[in-house]
Amino acid sequence: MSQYVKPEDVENWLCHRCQVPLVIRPARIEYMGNAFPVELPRCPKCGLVFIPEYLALGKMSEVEQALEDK
Amino acid sequence: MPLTNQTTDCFIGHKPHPGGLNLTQTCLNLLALPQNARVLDAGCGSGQTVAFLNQNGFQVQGIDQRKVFQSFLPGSNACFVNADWVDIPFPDDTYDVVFAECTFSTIPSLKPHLNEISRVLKPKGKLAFHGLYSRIEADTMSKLKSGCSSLNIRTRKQLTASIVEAGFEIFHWEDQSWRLKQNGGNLFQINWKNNLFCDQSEDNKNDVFDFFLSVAQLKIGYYLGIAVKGG
Amino acid sequence: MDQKQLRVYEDQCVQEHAPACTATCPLHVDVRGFCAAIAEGDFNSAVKIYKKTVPFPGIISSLCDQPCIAACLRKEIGGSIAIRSLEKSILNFGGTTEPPRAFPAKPRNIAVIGAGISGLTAAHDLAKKGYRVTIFEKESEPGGILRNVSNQILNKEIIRQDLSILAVYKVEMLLSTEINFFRYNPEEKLFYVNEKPFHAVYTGIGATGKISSPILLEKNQLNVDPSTGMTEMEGVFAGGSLVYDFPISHPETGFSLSHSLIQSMADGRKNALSIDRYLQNVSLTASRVNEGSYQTRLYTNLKYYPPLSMKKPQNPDGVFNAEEALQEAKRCIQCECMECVKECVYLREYGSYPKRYVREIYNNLSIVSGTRVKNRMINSCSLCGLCAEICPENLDMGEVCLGARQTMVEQKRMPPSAHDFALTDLRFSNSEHFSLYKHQPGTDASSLLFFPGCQLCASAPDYVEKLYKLLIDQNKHQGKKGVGLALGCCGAPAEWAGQTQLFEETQQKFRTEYQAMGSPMLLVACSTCLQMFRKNYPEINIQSLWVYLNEMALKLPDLSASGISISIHDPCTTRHENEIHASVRSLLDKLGVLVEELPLARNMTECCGYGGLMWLANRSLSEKVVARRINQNKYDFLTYCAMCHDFFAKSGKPTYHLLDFLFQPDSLEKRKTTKPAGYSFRRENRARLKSKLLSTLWGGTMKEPEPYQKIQITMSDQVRELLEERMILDEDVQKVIFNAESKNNKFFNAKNGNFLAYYCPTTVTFWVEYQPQGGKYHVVNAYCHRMTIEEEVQE
Repeated sequence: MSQYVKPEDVENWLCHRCQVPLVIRPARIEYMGNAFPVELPRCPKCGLVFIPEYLALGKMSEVEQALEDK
Repeated sequence: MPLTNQTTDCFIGHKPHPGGLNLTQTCLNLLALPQNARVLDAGCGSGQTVAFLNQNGFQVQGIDQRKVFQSFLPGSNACFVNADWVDIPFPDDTYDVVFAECTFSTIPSLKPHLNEISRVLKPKGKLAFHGLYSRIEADTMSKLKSGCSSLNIRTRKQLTASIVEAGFEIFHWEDQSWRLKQNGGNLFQINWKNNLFCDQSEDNKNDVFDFFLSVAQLKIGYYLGIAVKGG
Repeated sequence: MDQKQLRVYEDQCVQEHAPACTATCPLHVDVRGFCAAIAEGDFNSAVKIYKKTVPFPGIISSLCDQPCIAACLRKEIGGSIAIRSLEKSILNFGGTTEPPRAFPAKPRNIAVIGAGISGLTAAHDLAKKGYRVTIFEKESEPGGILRNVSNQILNKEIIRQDLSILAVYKVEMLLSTEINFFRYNPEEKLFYVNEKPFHAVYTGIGATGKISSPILLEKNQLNVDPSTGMTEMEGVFAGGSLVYDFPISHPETGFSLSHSLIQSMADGRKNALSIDRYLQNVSLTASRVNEGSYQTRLYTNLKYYPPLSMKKPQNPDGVFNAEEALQEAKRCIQCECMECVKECVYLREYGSYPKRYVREIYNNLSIVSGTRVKNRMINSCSLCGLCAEICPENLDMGEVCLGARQTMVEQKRMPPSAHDFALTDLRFSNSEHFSLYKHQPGTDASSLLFFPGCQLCASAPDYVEKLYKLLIDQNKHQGKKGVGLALGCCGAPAEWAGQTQLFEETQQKFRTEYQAMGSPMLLVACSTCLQMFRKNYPEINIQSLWVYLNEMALKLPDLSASGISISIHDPCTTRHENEIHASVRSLLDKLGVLVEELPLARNMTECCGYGGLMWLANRSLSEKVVARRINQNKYDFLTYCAMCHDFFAKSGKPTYHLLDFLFQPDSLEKRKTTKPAGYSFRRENRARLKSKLLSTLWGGTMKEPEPYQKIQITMSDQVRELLEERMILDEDVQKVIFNAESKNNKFFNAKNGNFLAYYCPTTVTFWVEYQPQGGKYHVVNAYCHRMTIEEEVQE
């Protein structure tokens, strides 16, 4: 189970194109030459990745700053 | 096996090795070995260092837990043995030098490994070692939530204590952290695949960001050292 | 910044230099230190501080001639601190201290001839270092001239107590001993003094010893090197009043000593150091700075200290009681410089001072990776140059920080998020959306080229239009040549961000256009543009709009009846532009506006927080900067820079732009409280300005709008504020929604009917949550991140 996204977010959103609910799958998130294999909600058909606000402004922002610091 | 020219960065089999043969050469310069000196590469990977040392005229053996090398170098006395470094299949007092290149940070417990190295070294034999270390205070490290099941990277203090405890005296230590910059900060990446300084259990593979943040806090640097066996 | 430059910078900051008292004292007693301790009632610490430097505290605190008090800065503001009296009180009220332990014994013997104060000091210092010292004194008591001081002035018991330290350090004191044998054995390299062998000799026999010294009997005189005490006889050192002549009159009692005790002590100490080095075979002269009395470089501004005189002690002998000593110690102004730190919010922010900052910045650049704190510190300086104005040695922290930023960029270590937004803005301003270089309509040559600058066009595009028309009007007599218009960015954000290459490219592009237009006189509204062009293109013929307007025969409104009075905030880039300062004040005078000058104005002006991209790199600091400035007085502000204006207006301070008086004199009340345009509007204003002028004046058209620009968005005020806070522009939102709608790349929330989508135009990935409402899109939320999502999206 992805610890970065709340279950209710996964439940309430679905991929509009494919009309299916999201599942937790690996996604590749990259910054400054570093790739992170993160488990995130994704559309099982087309692969669209879901990132909620608290993740973007929270953990991801922390990691961005740590990378910029190098 | 063709020898490449000294590369600044190379990946040997499963193990990344910042500095490549340049670091090996730096060690050689500091060691000032006689011709035909007997050398062991403990954790030799695919054998590039062994081949290089052999080319320099030394009598070399290499051991590694993983069988990622050819059994022998054609036309040489160098050989490879698939062995555990806590149980080196060579007699006491055999070697003038043991190389431990970028291996200490992969080992949870250094003591048996260092004892074995000491055993196979001749009296006043030398240990040439380089690898990753953490430049933070030891007590800060223990407080870090690393997202690893075991964090094997050590501070300089911890490393030197272990080495001294095994009966060595460290007569050279230098910081080579600038070499890590060439890697573009991909240590995190590499460890993720290769347990370079931290073993990861399956269930914390999810904590990618937390792991990375802990790694960032570790202030990982690179050192090079030469120690001599007492007695 | 290399090592050499680092040392130059460090040397410029005098904060760590000694205060005048310590520098003037031949022994460099830490007077400031013990005053601070006494002022806290901590006599014990004061004793430690005092005794650390002075080996014979009882003697000195009674008889020192105090060269320090002539130098004490308190002298001008109430009278020098009674330093010697404080020293006496330290001994009276501080506890006893253990003498520090001597160093391990060294197998070297030293002869000290003469137990005067210089010899006693030399003996003390050498014995403490572990040497075996023997003092030869021909009289029955030690002390030299002290022997003749009456008991009333200096109790013999105090002398005895002070000198007891010599016994602790195992100094052999041979009283009533004349020198009757003195030979040097060159093979052994030993001196034989009365049968005893010695490796070195110090003679501090005093002025009276001139004739009777056996050493001198060998020669008629002794040549002494004043900086080391060495004589031409190797191994023989001389000092004290034998060598120097400083009779002194004791200031308080009027009692005269034939020589300054403290000077003699310092001399003995100097010789001890020389002997120590001599015996270790190291250089006698290397690294010997500031030995003995010297003039300090420390600067202390006295304007902060009201005059305060000493309260005379109740005791008729003038001895302080503990409370009186405390009060007197409080009078010490604790000399330090800190001039720049006192005025600059940024320098105060990091709790230190320039000398340390420079070292930290140098270290930050040298180590493998910078830490966020230091990177931010380097990026937080506004580069305004106020510190250089204030510093007695003109150290410019802006120069240091800008150099560091350039290095970070070269080393590819500049965090992208520090300046990205501003650099993107720069690129926008120099793109076809805004860039324009045209001669006046109906002409094909320009005598004048108006460059309003990117920010004025963003904040007040209508003023730019009006200014252009005004300039054309006023130049009608110029014949065939007209007033051209140039729209673009001078490149200041790139310069400030340390992006030298980008800055040069920007300037080069301008230069090409400018030269193509015939290199007319460039008229700039923005003083930052002025600075940038002058710096990068020194040959340019350039003039400030404000100087130009003042020289024009303008019909200005008369505001004298309105009673408007303001304080002028001079933009920081006008710091050295006296002509601009004068022109602005002249214009205000003509307008009839009353001026109340701010304490920091003209060449001493502060930055509003926009400079150096401080606002982007360190928002909280820039808010502090603004808060401090706007609270400096109660008057409404007036400025003539668009960004200064906007920064103050945004924070609620009523602020005029000078052009308000020119173009909207009837709605000034409204003008001064209007909130400035947000980031999205700024871009739009620029694009619209170009589009409007292009079509109305030159009959041209802009490119077709991009497809995404057709997306119409709405949002509540709160959401508008949130996007402003997060620096997300309308066009970013439009791009996301356009991508989502045209490709069906979006998520749907059945519970509230919202859509969520993301798009990465160049570097930043934007997320927008929205609801379609009647052909438009109502934005509910938006956020962004810099990490990119790599995914395979199958259509």
